[in-house]
This record gives sequence, C-alpha cells and structure tokens, in this order.
Amino acid sequence: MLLKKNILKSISNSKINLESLFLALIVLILILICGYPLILFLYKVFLPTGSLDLTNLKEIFNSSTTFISIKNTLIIGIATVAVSTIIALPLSYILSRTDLKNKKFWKTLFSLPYCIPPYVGAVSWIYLANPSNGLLNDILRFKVFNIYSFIGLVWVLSCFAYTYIFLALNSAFDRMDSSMEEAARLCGASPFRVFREINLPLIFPSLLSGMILVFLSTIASFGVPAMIGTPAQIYLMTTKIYTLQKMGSLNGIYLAGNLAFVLLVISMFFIYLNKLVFKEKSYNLVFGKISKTSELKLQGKKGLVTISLFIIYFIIFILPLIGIIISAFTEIQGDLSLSNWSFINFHKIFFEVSEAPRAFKNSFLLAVFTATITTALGLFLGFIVTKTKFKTNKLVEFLISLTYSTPGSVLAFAFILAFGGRIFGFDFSLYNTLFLIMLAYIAKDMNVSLRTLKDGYNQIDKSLIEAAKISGANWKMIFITMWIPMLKSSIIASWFLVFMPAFSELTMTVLLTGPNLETVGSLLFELKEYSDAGGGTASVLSLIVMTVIILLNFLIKFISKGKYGL
Amino acid sequence: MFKVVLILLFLNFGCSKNSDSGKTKIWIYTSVYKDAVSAIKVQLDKDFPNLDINFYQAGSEEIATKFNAEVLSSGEPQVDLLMSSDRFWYEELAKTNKLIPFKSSAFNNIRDEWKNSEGHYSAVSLPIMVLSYNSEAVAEKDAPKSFKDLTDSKWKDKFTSGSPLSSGTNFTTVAFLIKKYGWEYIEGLKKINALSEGGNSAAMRRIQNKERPVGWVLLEDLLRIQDKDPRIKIVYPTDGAIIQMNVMGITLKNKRTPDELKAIQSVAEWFQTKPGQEFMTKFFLYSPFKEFAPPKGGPALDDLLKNSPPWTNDFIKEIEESRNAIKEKYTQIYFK
Repeated sequence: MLLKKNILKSISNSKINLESLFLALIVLILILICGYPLILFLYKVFLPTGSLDLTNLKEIFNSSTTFISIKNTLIIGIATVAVSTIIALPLSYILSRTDLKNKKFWKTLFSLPYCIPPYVGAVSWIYLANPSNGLLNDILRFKVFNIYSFIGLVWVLSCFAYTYIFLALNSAFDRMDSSMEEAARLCGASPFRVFREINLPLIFPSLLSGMILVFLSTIASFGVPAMIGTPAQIYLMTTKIYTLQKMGSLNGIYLAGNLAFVLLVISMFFIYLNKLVFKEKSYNLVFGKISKTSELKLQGKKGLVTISLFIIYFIIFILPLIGIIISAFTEIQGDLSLSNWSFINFHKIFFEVSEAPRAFKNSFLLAVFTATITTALGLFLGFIVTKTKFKTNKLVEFLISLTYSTPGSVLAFAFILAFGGRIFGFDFSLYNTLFLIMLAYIAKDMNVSLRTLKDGYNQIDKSLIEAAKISGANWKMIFITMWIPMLKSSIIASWFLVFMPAFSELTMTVLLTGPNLETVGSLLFELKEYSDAGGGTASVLSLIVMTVIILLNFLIKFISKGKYGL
Repeated sequence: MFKVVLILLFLNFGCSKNSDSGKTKIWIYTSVYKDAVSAIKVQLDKDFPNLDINFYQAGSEEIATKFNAEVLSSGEPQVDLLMSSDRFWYEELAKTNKLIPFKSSAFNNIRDEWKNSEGHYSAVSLPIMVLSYNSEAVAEKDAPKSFKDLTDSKWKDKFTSGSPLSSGTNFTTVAFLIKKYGWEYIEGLKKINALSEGGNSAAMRRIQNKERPVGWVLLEDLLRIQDKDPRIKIVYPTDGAIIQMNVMGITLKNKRTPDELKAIQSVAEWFQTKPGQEFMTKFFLYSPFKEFAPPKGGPALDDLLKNSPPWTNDFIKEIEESRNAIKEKYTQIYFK
C-alpha cells in the first residue's frame, strides 16, 4: 500500500511513469531481500505460537550477563571507532592533500587490510603478541605485549576497521574542490586551520559515515571478539548470541533472536543519531567544474613523513603477514627450527584437500555476482534515497542498516527460514544453492554499497542535473550520460568494497553451505576448527586469499592505468 | 543488463546443484572429521549404488542450528540421518519426537548407557577427552595427572581448552567436572586464568605452539599427530577420561516413502556393523562395540572406562534441562 502510495504521490507531475515504476520495483526487490527474511525471523521469534510472546525477551533481561555484554559491546565499539579514526584521518589527509611522493601507492597499501578477513589478522596477532610466547615478546625477552586484553582487542579490530573511514575519506578528499583551501591559504591561514575550518566540515559527512560503519561492523563482529575477547574474559553481545544459538535447542535460538533484536535496536539508535546530526545540513563537494587539487607542501618533512608511514604500515599489515607466512611454511606450529620449514601445507591444500579448487571457484562466482548486483541495486537505491522523496526512503535505509547490523549467523538463519522451505507458500526452495548464499551476501553488503554511492550522490550539486533537465534530457539519458560517469569512482569503489568481503565471507556461509557449495571462508573455518589440528593449511589458505585479492586489485589497477582498485 | 546477469546467475549457479540421477537421495549431517567423511562416502557409494548419499560436515553445534532452521522454515528437516557428538541435543530430539526409533542388528551389543532405550539414537563411535602437554615446555614429572590437578596454581597462564560455550565436547566435559567437583572447579580454572576458546583443534594448536603448553583435548586429535609431533604427550587422567559419543538418529519426515526409510535404515545399519566401525577406528575414534580394536596408539577401551564418569539417565536428564543455566553460570564466573 505504502509503495503504491509512493508511486502515485512522489512523482512531481502526479502521473505514473516508467521511471517511478522502475524505482518502485527496485525498492520491492530490496524489501524482498533485506526485509522479508528478517520480518519472518522476528515473527518466529516473538510470535512462536501465533500470539505475542515476550517471555524470552524477559529471560534475556533477567540475566546479569546480558548487561555486562551490552556494556562491553558499547565500550569496544566506541573505542574501535576512536582508534580507527586516529589512524585513518591523518593518513587520508596526508595521502590526499599533501605533495608526498607515491601517494597512490601508499593509498593502495593502506587500503589492503580492507580485503583481508579480520579473523586472519586475529590468528596472526595471537601468534605475535600472546602473553605466553608471542613472537614479539620472545624477541624482546620480556612480556611487553598482551593481545588478550581490552587494548589488544580494540587494536586488532581497528587494524582492519580503519579502512572503512580511510576509503570514505579518500573518496571525499578526491572530490573536494580545493579552491576554498587555496583561498584560505592565500589569506594566511595555517595548514591546521585550513584543515579544521575548511576540510573537516566538508569531509564530516563521509567521516561520520565511515565511523558509523566501523561502529556497526564492530558491535556485530564475532570472529575477532571470540578469538581475542574470550581469552581476555571480555564478554560481548555477539559472544552471548553465539552461545545461545549453539545451545542446540529451539529455545536457545529464540533467545539468540531476542538478543540479536536488542543489538539491532542499539545499531538503529546510532544510525538515527547520525541522521539527527545531519538533518538540516547539506554538503556539496563538487560544484560543476573540478579544479586541480592544491597540495600542502611538506618541504623538508617528506622523509620523516615517509618513514612514519612505513612504520605504521609495518605494524598494521606487514607484522601480521609475517605471522601468517611463518605459520604457512612450518609443519609443526611453533617450531621455528630450520628442519620444520617446508611446503607441506601448500602440498596439502593443492593436492590433498579436494574441495579447495571448488571452494575458489564458488567464492569467485559469488563475489563477482554479489558485487555486481549489489552495486547495481545500490546505484538506484542511492538515487532513490538522495534524489527522490519516496515515503519508503526511511524504510529502505532502515532495512539496509538492519541487515548490516544483524549478526551474520542470525541473518543466515533468517535466510534459511525465508527461502529454505516454501517461498510465499510455493513449494520452491533455494536451500543448498549458491543463489541463496548470494542473496544473503547482498543483504549483508548492501549497506556498504549504498553508503558509498550515497556519498557520491550527495557530493554532486543538483544544479548540474537541473541544467540537463532544462536542456531536455530525460531520466534515462541523465542516468546514463551524467550520473553513471560522475559516479564512476563510487561505483567502482562499491564493487570492490563488496567483492572483497564476499570472497572470503565465513559467518553466514558456514550455515548456508551444502554439498559442493564450499567457499574459501567455509573451507578455512572447517580446516581451522575441525580438520587441521596443525593449523598450517588454514594459514596457507589465508595466504592464498590475500594473494588472490591483492593480485586482482593490482591487475585492475594495471588495466585501468591506476584509475580503479584500492 | 539485469536480464544478462540473471541468466548468467541461473546458468552458473544451477550447475552447483546436484543433478537428479533418479537415485534415492539421502542426507547425512555429521560432525565426524572431513577426511573420515570423504573415505566413508567413497565406500558408501560402492556399497549402496542405488543411493545418492550426501554429507554435510560441520561441528555438532552448526548441525543443530541448521536442523532447527530447517524445521522452522519448512516444518521438517532435510537431513535423514544425524550423526554428531551433542548427546543432550539428541535427548531433546527424542523427547520431542523428532527422531524415529531404529534398532540396528548390533543395537543390543551397545552398552545401555550409550543408547536411548527406545532406539531413538545410539552410539556410533566414542570421542574421549583426555589431558595433554607439550614436553618441550613441561617435564613429564611435572605434568598434570588428573583434571583436578589443573586448578593448581602452578598451571596459571599455562592451561587451555576449547570453549564450553561453543563446543559440544567441551561443554560435556565441563558438565561432568561440575558434577564431580562442583562449581568450585570452574572458579579454580578462572583463578589459573584458563584460556578456553574455540574448538578442540584451536586448543591443540595452543598446546603445540606452547602458547598454553597444557590442556584437555580429544584423544583422536592427539592420536592423529603422534607420529608427526612427538613433543605432544597424552595423559590419561587418574580421575577418569571423559567418554563422549557420536550418536546416530534417523529424523522424522512425513514426506518420506517406506522405501526411502528402508534405504536410510540400511545406511544406519552399515555404520554400526563391521565396515562402518572399521572406518571409525581407522580415523582414531573408539568403537562402542567390544570386538573392535582401539584406534592406532590408543589404550584399550576397558582401561579408559575404569574411572570415567558414567552416563546415567539422571545425569543426561539434568544436563539436558539445565544447559542454558550451566552456560549462564559459567559465564558469570568466567567473564568480566
């Protein structure tokens, strides 16, 4: 009904046209993918017998550990946002607005952690900095580092999460018209003042958008909190959801669903807060013709900045990589003697684990299709939420945020409920198909795509489109000849930002997979938890995932002559 | 563009679905390790050429979640034969009539405490929880001798296990230890800063790399690496190894034909007779039947059973009903 009303009311000249119908169809698809499974899930959780039953919700709030988990989750979420911002903001500024050499190369390097599954990083950091025999502690012959701590947990999460802010800021800085900065500098403003009074207000929407992404992904993450938080005795909401879900009983799943709902409400609160902040504000970074970016001259400080960047990068990326490499090349984990170094773990993956080739093929297919479809949907949805006054706009954003902030295991469960048996009463099932896995990936990753493209739309001033309309261009023509070319970098960014997590997704896939549907993530989990007590083959697989994604990234950069890719 | 994408999707993704060969399709969900499943499947395909046997291999907790999701979505599960290590879950399934009673020809040879008296489920193999240490970090004379020893302050920052919150075999171990030593035992583990996270493989890795050189892990994991990593030693605890079990149950499905049920029963029978049991021992699991030798490197089952805590009906009932409460209390003791 609401949708029908929208179609009729949102069109300025009050008549139904193809444009509105098409956009309404996109909204409908979104509701089907993101809304329907969760609505069904909530229905089953809160109305298990057909009438409202809040017994499980009461049970959740009667437990003292619930409050501990909520408190810890909020603290870890906020701390990770703070550390990620401290890493990303200066990095992004230096690599976008200064005259440092090889900025593109550095940008690529600092973007790479985005494509690595955080649980791979957790495995490596445990190897490097566990208090008992972490490699770094051994080298220093003193227990300096303890990864099993609040700081350790926040650090590992931030080493990956900062890329959300970094990528969002890079895009904003790249699109920013530098004429105001130049004017401020000509008037004698110091670099810090230019940053504070010109750059910061302009990039603030992108910064906040990245911060919200970091917060949401942190409070919904499970792998790193389980591997580092549990030994550190830090109990989080996702740990409790996982525990309840693993109870085996249906009641456990209902309880998990109720707590997931609480997590969802928390996420929604922060998203709403974000909206309140920007209610009355509008930020356009592109005003027609883009002038050449003016750069802050580093002069004699270039060497110092370069060394600092190298040190930061070494700590964030190279150190954990070394940990993974050592693990992959040693047969017996922890034995660093020369005789223990070999290619045996590689041999196992390539010649003994029969599922490996299929897992790579499935992951590649899933990632390509998920990235393409999510970006296509994101392109139109971005237009809808920024450039139309559809009454469903709030619903669209709510649903997308909802699926993003829902823990992966709960979302997978919801998808089995929605599409695993009868679909809308029809005896047709998507259960045990790659298609179902892909739908779940789209629901989870849509938020990243929409935010990236929304930022792109927000940065383009409407005067350009109005000019095109006055010149007689229709909607389709405007989309093809104006929006898509102007949003090209946002489209490519969105595709990559979706492709990478989809290639190595683990949490949802473990529950959605079936025979012959192995993916790299599910195989890695299986090797790590059940088949490979030694641990080396899981590290080999992690190394291969990293290499494939990094090579693909560089291939695209090479083909596009540096225009696209991270 | 959308049309092209959709066509490609269905073309590519359609290939991933099993083709309908006209054979009776059977689904087995199991927590038995993947290498064992691969070998068993080859043999089953030979022994049952008219059946299309499919496996889903995962931890017992993932299996339970998948099963529950299937029941909620379509009213009944896809799986035909369940085989995993969370016995308390099987007890719940039996109580709620989600399993069909089935007694194989070997059913009567299984000890009463390892099966449901009405035949809703019965043991196929026995994973066993024992102690282990890395001899590069701990001398034999200093190694723990019993589960009770682990709460000694000398193991502070040295002990590890899987998490009872997420691993079924570790939960069972904790349940038995609480029964035997009370909640003080868990408080003792908290005092020594025990690192309990992930599954048994994760605990094993921590012992191997000396991050935590002492722990409890499944005997099958230890026997697997005895030749490769002689540093890792096995300790059979003096207060009793904890005998766990992979149990098997046939699910209730209304849409199943009598012929299909017969086929599933014949596969279930296979697992409890010679060919199936030989695969279990080959992959380092103990057989619940006396006539089968222990797995390579393992002691006789009777020796392990001497001090092991018994699976009584009261114990099963008590734990099945208080699983959530046990995990809640464990969490309250263990976490900040």
